[in-house]
Amino acid sequence: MESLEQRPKSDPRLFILGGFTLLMMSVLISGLWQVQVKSTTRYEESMRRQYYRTVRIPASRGLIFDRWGQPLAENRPSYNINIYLERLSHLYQDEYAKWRGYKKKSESAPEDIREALEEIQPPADVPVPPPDESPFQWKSFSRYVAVKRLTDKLGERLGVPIELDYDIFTRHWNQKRSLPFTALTDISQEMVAKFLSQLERPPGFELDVRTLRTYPHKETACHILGYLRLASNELKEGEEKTNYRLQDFAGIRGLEMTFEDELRGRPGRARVKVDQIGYRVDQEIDVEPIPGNNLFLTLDLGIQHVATQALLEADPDESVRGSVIVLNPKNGDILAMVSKPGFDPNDFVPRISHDKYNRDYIQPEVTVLQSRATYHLYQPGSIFKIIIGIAALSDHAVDPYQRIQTHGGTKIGNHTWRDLARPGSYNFTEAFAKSSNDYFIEIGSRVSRTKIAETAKAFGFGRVNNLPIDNKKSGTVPDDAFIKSWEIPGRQVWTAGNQANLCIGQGELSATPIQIAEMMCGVANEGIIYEHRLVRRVESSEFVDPEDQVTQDFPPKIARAIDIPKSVYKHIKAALLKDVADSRFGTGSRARIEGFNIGGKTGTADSLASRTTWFASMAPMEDPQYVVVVMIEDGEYGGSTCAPVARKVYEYILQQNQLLESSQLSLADQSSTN
Amino acid sequence: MFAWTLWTAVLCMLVISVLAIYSAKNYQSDQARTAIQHGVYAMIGLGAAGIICLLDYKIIARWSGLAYGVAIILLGLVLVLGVERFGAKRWLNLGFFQFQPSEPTKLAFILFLARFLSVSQDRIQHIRTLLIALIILAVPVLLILAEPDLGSSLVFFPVSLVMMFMGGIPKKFLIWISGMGVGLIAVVLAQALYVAPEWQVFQLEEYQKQRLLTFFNIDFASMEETEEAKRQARELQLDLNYNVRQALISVGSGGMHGKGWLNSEQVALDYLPRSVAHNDFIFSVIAEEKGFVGSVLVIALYSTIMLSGLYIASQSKDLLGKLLASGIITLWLTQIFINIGMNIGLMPVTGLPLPLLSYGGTATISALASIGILQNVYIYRKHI
Repeated sequence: MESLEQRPKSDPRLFILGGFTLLMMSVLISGLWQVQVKSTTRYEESMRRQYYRTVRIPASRGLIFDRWGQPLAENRPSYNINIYLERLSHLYQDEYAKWRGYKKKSESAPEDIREALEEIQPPADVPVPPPDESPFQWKSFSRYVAVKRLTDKLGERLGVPIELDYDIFTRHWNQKRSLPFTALTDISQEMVAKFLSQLERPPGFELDVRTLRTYPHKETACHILGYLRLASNELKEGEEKTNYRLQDFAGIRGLEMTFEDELRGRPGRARVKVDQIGYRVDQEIDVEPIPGNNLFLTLDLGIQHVATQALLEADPDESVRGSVIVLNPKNGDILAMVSKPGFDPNDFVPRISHDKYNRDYIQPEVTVLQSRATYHLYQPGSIFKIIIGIAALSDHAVDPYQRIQTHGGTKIGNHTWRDLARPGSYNFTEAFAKSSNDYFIEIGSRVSRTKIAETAKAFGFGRVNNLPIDNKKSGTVPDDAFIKSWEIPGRQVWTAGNQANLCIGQGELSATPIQIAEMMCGVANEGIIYEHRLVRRVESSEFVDPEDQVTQDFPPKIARAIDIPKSVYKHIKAALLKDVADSRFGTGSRARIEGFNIGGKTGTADSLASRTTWFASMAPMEDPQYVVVVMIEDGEYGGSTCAPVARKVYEYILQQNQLLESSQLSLADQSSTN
Repeated sequence: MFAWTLWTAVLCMLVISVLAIYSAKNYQSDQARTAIQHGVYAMIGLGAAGIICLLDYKIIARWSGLAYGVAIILLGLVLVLGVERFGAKRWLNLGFFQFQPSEPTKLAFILFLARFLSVSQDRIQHIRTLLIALIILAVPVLLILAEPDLGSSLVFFPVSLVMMFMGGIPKKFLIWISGMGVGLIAVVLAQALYVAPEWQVFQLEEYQKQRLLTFFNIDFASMEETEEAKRQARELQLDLNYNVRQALISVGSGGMHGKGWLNSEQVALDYLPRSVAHNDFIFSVIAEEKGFVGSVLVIALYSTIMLSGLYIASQSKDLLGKLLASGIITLWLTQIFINIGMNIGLMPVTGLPLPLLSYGGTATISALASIGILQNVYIYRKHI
């Protein structure tokens, strides 16, 4: 023993152990250096990724105004009752404890199970899962029941049943529990008041506000404005991917669709900090949304209203199908464009029920979503005599002063074209005003089909206009291409009967009311046709530098100039004037207004299935500022059904202009006296 | 007389541990209670260390056989009466205290082996001595392995290897048994991880196997499994990996200077699981809040404790004191390396506590008792 205790103090083995200790510690330090200093950004990044969920916040949608700044589409506050799931976690636990007890009892004493269930009192009509379900299912069921108890109670207090679907709720909890669950969408003001006046609000339930699209004038201009649907989840250009998206809308028809990119704005982004369970801890706005740009239209809300009203009054049953278009031929501005029947675009916000969509949009035989002004095709009937007249006059095929004898009908082959004008000897203006079929078949047969087709196309037939809406059609004109595609190959024959049909605007001819309006603009402006203009400018909705306020401007633009001598227009205009002004001859005399020179042409086209009645007009004839086209399906006659509608529109316009003039005069007075 | 450096480092460590546990329990109702409880355990541990110093270690060592025997009985008891938590029986419920017998067993084992090696010096070259030492090692190891607690049982190997080395067991024997040991571990690991179950001789518990697979980043599912099985296996793997991944995020996001005391975001948002943040993963809380600087400070304090222990070993006049001190230091070194290594992904997940820092009564009291033994060796170094 003694000798062993005399070991030297410096034992080399202790040095080995000490060296090894220091080596191990330096391994740890270099490991820590690697993790904490060299890779710290990487770990910070993975921390951020697990802490934050990004949420796309839609921007508030740009507004749409008429030419005087009256809103046609705006945003309103909408209230939702949302459930913040993280604040209910203690309730889930309590509920789960109850059900765990129930489950245990069902295993130990299955005979008492009914009592156990009565004790828990699950909400009515909630099916209790079988006891051998997995704990995962039981937990998810407990969460649902806990929330269901609260929504039932709240529904009772508010007097509205709140539906809580198990699958929808569970999916929300599983996939995006950091976002609140919406219990009630877009509730009424009364319900907002009821909810807020509760003394004891259930925990985790909040009233949240967002903005929703609203169309204050409901059906008015619905086909122009279009409507919205819930936006799909695809990313727009330049948008960053987010974990979640809040409900957003996208235009799927009308200006809402064509100007979607302008109106939508730039969505913002919120960052929600979540805990390990995925519950929301707090939230901050990362990127502020930029509201969409505003549209300023050429539309005049007053005229639009009056035109709508006049159109509705044309049919005592108020089931009118038709269209009214008011245009300024001097710049192509569309002042009103009505199509009936229409729809209320508010129906689609925030969503339309399947039943309602079926009942109001799919089932009716009369289509409501398509615009009769731009999409439906009609036979122009006698209105086409304007084109026949222009073609014959410019071709010198007829002397407008020469009288031609009519016989109350023209027989070609086996078929007779009746003429409602009393047989007699008429010059161009008289025949036009009386809308004599005999006269126009006679002069129309003197020019070639090609000439007529070319003239029609020059005035806008057979081509799709450039209006920024989706609902458009080109119609048909019997040009060479059409004839080729038309008959059995090898028998592409244009008969005299076909030509006669064309002369009175029937047969192989169809057009939309907006095309008729374009033709009238061409006549009014004597060959200069402006492009139709619906949107004047796009403005930023935020106040910015006045220079940058307008982001897009659409000045009037000449579409084309038609090379036809002025004298032709003189005759046509005189004829148009006579049709309205001459109460003895004129078919359109019911549009007449004393002291205001309106010129127009009526039309009534019959096909097997339906009748189309027309009145196409312009005023004042000295220097036309307005073109008004009225089309009504299955009316009586153009003169009796449509002309009065146009008169009402003109009356309103006159009245407004007088108001404007007198206010300008008084303004001028004030400034001169000051 | 008094090992000043050692005690200064230990007291610093205790203060750090109470603060760290308080922070790891942030936002929980038992935050203050847990921290105070840990402080109380530390006091008890310090008292135990004081009591140990009352008697010369040479006298205490005579009773080491009894201590070893009691420890073995307790390990047996825990297998019969133990409280089962997380699929393992490691604790005895004493009503007021959850007692973990494997912790004091480590000390009893060191005492007993030191005593055995020091009294067997005249036949230390003999293979019988080695075999007896191996039996002393095997009994607690097998009992702890049966709980099962692989991590705690593995700690015994480096401790006994170092003690045998210090005690004069011939080097060729040591090389031979450590070679065998390493070979055995390699074979066990390899066949557990790669050999089909029906051919396995030694079988690891499923959770141990999964932890190891996770650590070596091997897919749980074999190639021929269905897509669904593979997906489930990946999810499970991610789940098991979860604690380590979160610990790494804590440590890594701490950066150079850390986020400050009570500012661990991983704790605040519950990503670092509540059940482990204040014990097995306490280091990642310190590393996140105090950064690299804090981590290095902790390691420096540990190094101070261990080097002080080595100094005490060198000052000891007899082999028994040297063996005790070096055994205790190896025990600390092993636990520190495995635990911190686990926190930074260097080591697979094992349930080993970090001495003095981790929350836990038995472990803290044992750790301080082991410091008491070091102090004892220092006090009685000259008395023979």
